[in-house]
Amino acid sequence: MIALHRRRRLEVIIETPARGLVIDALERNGAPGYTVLPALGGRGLSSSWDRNQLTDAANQVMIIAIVGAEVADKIVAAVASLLDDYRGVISVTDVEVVRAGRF
Amino acid sequence: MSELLSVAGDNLLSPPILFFVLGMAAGLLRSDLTIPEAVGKSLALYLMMAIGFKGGAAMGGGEGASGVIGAMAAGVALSFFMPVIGYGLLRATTRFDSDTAAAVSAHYGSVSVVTFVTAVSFLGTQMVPHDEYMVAVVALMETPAIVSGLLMAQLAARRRDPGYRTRAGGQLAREILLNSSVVVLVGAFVIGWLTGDSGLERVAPFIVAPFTGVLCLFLLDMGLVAARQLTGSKVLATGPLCFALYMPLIGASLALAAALLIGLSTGSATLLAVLGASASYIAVPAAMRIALPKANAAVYLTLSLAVTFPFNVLIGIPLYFAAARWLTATFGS
Repeated sequence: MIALHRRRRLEVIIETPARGLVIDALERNGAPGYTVLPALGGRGLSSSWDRNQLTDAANQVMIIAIVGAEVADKIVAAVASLLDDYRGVISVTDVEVVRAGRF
Repeated sequence: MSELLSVAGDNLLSPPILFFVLGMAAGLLRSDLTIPEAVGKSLALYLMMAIGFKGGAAMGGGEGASGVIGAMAAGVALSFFMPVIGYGLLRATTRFDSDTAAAVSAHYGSVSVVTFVTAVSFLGTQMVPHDEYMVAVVALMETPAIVSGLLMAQLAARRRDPGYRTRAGGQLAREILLNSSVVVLVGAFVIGWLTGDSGLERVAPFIVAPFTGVLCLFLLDMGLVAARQLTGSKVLATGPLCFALYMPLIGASLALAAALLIGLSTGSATLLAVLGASASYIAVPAAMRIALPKANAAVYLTLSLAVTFPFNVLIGIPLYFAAARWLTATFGS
């Protein structure tokens, strides 16, 4: 039986122009890595959006990072302050990973 | 007047404009026709590269550059000061908050490369020459408007809150100075300039021959995008809608006055007027989302892309051309 280790998975959906600000928050607060995924389209509280545009201004991306509990708290606080200005969502899930030293 | 109608008719019945109309009709009728995002962006890059390279090659090949400094100075001044006019008009005639008014006005000071490319194609069909350095003016006009729009937003914010500071300074600077339009236009212009006519000859099968066909495909996409932006919008109150129609006329008039002052030809004066009239919908929205996140993005995207762009392409270009021809014939040296 392989040993599993508890970590937190942060999932940030953010408008594309603010992607760099989220990544900066992850790096400043000690996230060892992250993955950025494109989002195709969706709907928020006030409007819907679709990726099929000429500009990235209205698009969104998803950024996933798996980190320890302490780092997760710092990142959530930093990203939450960005969400005062930029459209987005952050969620936190408990997960289990195999290689604890990587997260 | 009959001449103006004839020129307008020629424009409306040209293949690129008919493809634009087809795209708008398909979008308004909710057809499932789509051009993948990556293809649309590639076509835009191709058009910027082609127009930049051809302009640079003509300059490198020894084509006259008299008037280039005047045209560049006029372009920068128009780009910087038009947002000031736009901001004042928007604050007086709409209910936009200061951030949204500043963001919208920055779009109208900056330029639409595709409107410029369409105007170049139009001048080609009219067999009216223009100075090739006008491509460099396009690149120069992209960014002063962003700076000017942000200055007005900051002045308004500091009046409300003296401790106001913007975030994302470094990322914003990158977006302003190194956005894809500026990099591709300036880069292709310099490469064309360095390699001259022999360089153009080597890439002509890619850069010159397919140009109008690619423009048709891109304008089909633009028609679809503009129509979908229009149908998905809930922001078209009378004040903003009127602004998107009269601001291009103000910009074109100022540009034509500047063109007369510096003695541009009919073709180049038309292009400067088109630049004054056009509004950005690629580079500026991204910069505004970073710098002014409280501004309403749906407003500036709808006004510049779904109202001003179709107006300029369908009506504006032949109108500015007729005005430039009359003005240069009447008052030109």
